[in-house]
Amino acid sequence: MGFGIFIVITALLPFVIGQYYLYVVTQVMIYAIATLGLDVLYGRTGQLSLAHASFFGIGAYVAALSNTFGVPVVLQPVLVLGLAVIVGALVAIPTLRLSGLRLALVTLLFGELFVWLIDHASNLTGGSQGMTVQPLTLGPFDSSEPLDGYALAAIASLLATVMCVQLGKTQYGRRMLAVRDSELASASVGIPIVRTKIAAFILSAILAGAAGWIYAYVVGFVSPTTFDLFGSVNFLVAVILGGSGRVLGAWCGALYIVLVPEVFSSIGYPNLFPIVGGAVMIVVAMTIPRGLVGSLEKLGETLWAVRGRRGRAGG
Amino acid sequence: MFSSANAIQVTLGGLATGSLYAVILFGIILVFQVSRSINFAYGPTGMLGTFASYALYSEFGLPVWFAVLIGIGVTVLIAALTDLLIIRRLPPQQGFDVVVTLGELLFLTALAQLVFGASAQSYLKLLTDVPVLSRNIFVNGNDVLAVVLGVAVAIGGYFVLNSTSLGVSLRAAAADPSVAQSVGINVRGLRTAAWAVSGVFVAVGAMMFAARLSVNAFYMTPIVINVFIAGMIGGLDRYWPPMLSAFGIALYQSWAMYLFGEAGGVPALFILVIVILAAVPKRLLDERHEARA
Repeated sequence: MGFGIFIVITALLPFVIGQYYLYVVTQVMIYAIATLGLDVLYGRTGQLSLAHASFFGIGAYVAALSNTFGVPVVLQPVLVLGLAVIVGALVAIPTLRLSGLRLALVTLLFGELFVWLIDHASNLTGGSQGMTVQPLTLGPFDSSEPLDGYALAAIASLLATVMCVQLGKTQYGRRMLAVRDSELASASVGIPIVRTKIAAFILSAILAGAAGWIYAYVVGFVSPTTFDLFGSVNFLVAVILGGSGRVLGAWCGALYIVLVPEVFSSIGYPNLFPIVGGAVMIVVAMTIPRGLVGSLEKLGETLWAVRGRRGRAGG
Repeated sequence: MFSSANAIQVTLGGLATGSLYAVILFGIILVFQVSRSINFAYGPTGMLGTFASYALYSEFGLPVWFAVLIGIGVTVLIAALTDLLIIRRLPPQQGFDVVVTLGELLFLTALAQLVFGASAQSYLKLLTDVPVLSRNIFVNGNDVLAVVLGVAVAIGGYFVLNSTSLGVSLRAAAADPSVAQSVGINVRGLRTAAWAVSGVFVAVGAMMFAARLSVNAFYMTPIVINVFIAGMIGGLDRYWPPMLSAFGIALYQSWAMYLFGEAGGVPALFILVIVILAAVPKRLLDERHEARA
């Protein structure tokens, strides 16, 4: 039923809102795909990654450089997928023995290396100045048209959402949760920890890479500042605010990291967003560690239990 | 061109940088050993104190020494408040200290950018304009001060942590807070004090680095990443291995940048970390002592 509502709303929105807001919703959908990726890794598997914006950046620069090298459109998703699998595994393998600070640091170092590569390959990437991305065109489709970009992001975000919901129902999804809760207990019941963690990293990189690829074509510009440490922290804010381990939470988080900067820009204070973002991360972690969705679920369960007790007492 | 004078210059530069890394790292070790927590906002905390001291000197005309002291005070206050208002109120979930201090990192960096602007600025000289050696090898007063501070903090810190009653109390509070509390140690107060004192070390390190670089709101981020990596390699629950790693990483990066150019620092560090992760036995990477992180 949830997906039905999603499809109906998605189909109706272009008739209800203007082109600018359609562009904003498109960005929410793109960020939701990437946030779902980090949720798989951090929310479900417990692996804190500060390289997520780099995975997002890999997809974006595949789109940007495909223009330069004339890579056919149909090959580009395959390229993004292949690169995401390789890079996801490359980040995962050295970090398998790590957790906590060490995991965060090594993934951060991967992120730093990515930004360094972009900065130092300036003849290809435009360096710190960034580069423009020509629109994706395929027959009548043109990603620079708000409706076309929206349709592309809507289909991709729907697929990503379905995949993440289904993942929770599979054995792999349950293994991820077990690894997050206790590696020792998971190993004792025969869960392959290494394979589960690598799969989580790869899936996370694929979702972020796909989101980055669409982002580059919709926005039409890429620069390394979008994909640095602070970009990764913003994805983490999205996961924690929405509620880690929850698909709806990732969507709420994406809404936050796209809409709140829009609000600050509209009132003339665009620089306030990172300050608020940092404060939100602290306050949410301290007061509602389950995130918005998790806390609402808990509230709903409590109210349901109270209602049940009253019903039994009355009957 | 390679020459013995260049080699000495590179080594002395690495030694001075490593000394400042050691000063900053001591604060991280102190906090970790007493509260088992990691402060990702450690760098911006020092950066804000540095910017505050510069603003007091340049905007309000305060004497350098007084502006520096107030800057250190600002950093100490932020570090203490991080423990008082955030860390001690966290729910007991793994990794939340990393998450909230990442939030604080974002908050403090953006705040500094808003207040002090985004462009790079030059800071107080702090002896960088006082030549000590200036013929074939260039050494300035800031380098000498950095080495003196680094060696003093490394040796003095070891003495305090291992040979004083304060050090014993700190280790007792870290090992078993409830037992330490029951024998009269004010564990919470001790933790907050450790966080506050760590502010002194990051402020001093941040100011010394600021005198050598042009600074903006982000200048402490790569420095603290290097310091954290030294801590990761050596292990924050030990003392000499991370301290020596701080010197080692700085020397290694100095040589990498000398041999491969300024841009060689980041990939060289990356390669070092990957080699160490591949080579170090698993038991040395065991994080059983890292309760929260």
